[in-house]
Amino acid sequence: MAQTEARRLQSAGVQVTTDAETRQVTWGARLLQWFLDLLTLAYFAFALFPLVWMFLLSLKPQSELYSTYFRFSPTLDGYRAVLGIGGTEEIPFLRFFFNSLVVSVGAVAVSLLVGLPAAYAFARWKFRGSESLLFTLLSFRFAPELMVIVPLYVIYQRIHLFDTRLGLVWVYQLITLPLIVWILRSYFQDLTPELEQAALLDGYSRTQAFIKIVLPLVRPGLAAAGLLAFIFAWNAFAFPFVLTGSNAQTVTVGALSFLGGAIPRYNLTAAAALISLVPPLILALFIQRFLVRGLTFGAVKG
Amino acid sequence: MRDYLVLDRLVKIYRPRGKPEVLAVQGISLSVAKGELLGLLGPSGCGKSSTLRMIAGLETVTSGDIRIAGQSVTGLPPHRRNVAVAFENYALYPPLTVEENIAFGLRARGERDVRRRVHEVAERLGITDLLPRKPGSLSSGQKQRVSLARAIVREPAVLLLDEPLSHLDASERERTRRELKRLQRETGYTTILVTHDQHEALTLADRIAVMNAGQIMQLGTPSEVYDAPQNLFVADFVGEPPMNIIPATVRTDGDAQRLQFSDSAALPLPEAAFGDGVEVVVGIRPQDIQVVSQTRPGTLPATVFAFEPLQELSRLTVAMPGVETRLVIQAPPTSSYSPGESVGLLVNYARLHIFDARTGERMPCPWMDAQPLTALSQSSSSATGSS
Ligand SMILES: Nc1ncnc2c1ncn2[C@@H]1O[C@H](COP(=O)(O)OP(=O)(O)OP(=O)(O)O)[C@@H](O)[C@H]1O
Ligand SMILES: [Mg+2]
Repeated sequence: MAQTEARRLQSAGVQVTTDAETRQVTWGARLLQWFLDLLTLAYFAFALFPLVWMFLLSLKPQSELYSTYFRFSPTLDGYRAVLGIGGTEEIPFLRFFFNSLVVSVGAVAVSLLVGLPAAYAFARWKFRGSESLLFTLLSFRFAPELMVIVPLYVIYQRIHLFDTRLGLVWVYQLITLPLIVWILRSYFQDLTPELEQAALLDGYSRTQAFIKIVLPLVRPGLAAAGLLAFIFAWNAFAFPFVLTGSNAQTVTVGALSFLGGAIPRYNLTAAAALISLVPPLILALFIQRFLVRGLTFGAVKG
Repeated sequence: MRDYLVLDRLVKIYRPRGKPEVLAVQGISLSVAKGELLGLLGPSGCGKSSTLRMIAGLETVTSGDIRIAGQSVTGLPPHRRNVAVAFENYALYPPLTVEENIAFGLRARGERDVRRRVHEVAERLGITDLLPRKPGSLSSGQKQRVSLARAIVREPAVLLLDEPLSHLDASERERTRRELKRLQRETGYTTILVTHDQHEALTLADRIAVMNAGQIMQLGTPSEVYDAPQNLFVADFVGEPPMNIIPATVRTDGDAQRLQFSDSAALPLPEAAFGDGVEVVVGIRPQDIQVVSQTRPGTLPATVFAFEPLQELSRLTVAMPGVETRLVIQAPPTSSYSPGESVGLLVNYARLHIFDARTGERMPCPWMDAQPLTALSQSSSSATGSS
């Protein structure tokens, strides 16, 4: 505190001494700030443009989809059609949505259940094969899914996991488990083992020390890893595309099926995509609090 | 009780996967009396922490035995040994307040009177006003005090301190060191203090075990270790600035004997005590050499190589003719020398250390027995200075 105060005073003192120079400096600084703001704005526009485009698309009636000049009479018909309100739904989008929720939440839950103790073990002990096991987990992330998808398809057909939610939860472990293990492991590594050892000396068992001491401290890591894994699971496309039929299909695949008819209906796809944006968004907003708290936790250490 | 904590031929071998094994502790034996503060002093990697962690039960014992109050604790889990550790990194629990941190161990054991005991210990360490705060907002010195409080609140049989002052700045360190000394005196805990800082060990410990490469090189009181180092390692490691160490050969001339450093530099000995032609290593502390005019009889001739006037004592580096090793001497602050100047050196024989060049072991000098060791140590321990 005293240090920042001193620095503040010091910088104030500098401003007082050379007035002309300071004005020049602030002009330069302001110009730079403007330039940076402009750059930020440009990036913002660039990043947001597809979303805006999608939004407009989702509000267009079927008739305006292919017109080459800008004609726009917004309607919610697209959303109604996707959600099956007031008409016959051709594609059971709500079921896909529900499938996605169940499968993503399930996959993250299983990964946390398995990954949390695994990450702790990887962080604290070296055992036979620990290195190669870790690397194998990581390799799931950089090996293309398409490489394993055909054999998986055959296997899933044979063991009757094809087009089931359980099958998806299982195969999603390839996506979510490495994320969870690697992120949590680094959080565990940042904690000094002496914290647990102090607890051991105090009379806690290893399990108690883990639950009472370690777990609360990695909560921000848990939130971050869980959120990231959920987003990856939610956005997964290749696995559900190949491994599901009509029953366990997810939103990512379902949204595309609006393009499959005689006339591709881009407005419905856009509406479906925007609707499917909602759960990760809500989750991110909800979890953000933990993430920020995680940052302030860092200041406590050391 | 003389043998309150006993280490009996303690061995620790680490066998890391895919790497060669490490002999961290190679059969050390020592016993600590009840209420004694034993300093475990040694360079980095000599096995101090390993020894400490074995006593605490945080590391398995490869072989040997650890006994506390006559009972072997070697196979017991940490919490059944009644041992407390103040860790180097404090290991305070961030989400809890200082009070909750100190109370943590008592709560775990379901003890009563927690609040009163926590406040008592806090009072004793002068951290009462810190109790409601979180560890994150404390200075290193305060964290160290809280960590100490957490260790002693349980009233352990043995208190283990691993480098308790190493993360403190100079003034905090000095203050905490005094506190620690007072605390240990008042409470009378049997304590092992691990440190690589000799100043800390010399000022705090009742006895010091100097360790190197997993072995105890010498076990003794601070003045024994400082005034009569048993071997070259201890001679070199303890003392600031370090002892001058010069190889020499014993030469006999009738009744007289001298230490021949080179063809033209020799130090006559007060008594003949060694075999002729024996190779030795001579150790002299910088404060045990006096610089006089070369014309005085019985002086060693030398040439000034460098002179550094420092605040309290000046440091003079001289070269003896034909001797490669330069001698460092502490000279009074008022003195002044210029490089190339010829000087004479007078050596305090009572504080001359002679080691066997082959084994590195200390060789007894008969003229030293005449003077009591303790009288000498008075003058010397003040000269250890701060490091
Ligand atoms: N878990 C371990 N696995 C393998 N080797 C280890 C392990 N812990 C310590 N060692 C090795 O054992 C030796 C002694 O280590 P120890 O930590 O006891 O030294 P120390 O005297 O406390 O040193 P420092 O002053 O640096 O803390 C070192 O060579 C160290 O590298
Ligand atoms: Mg250590």
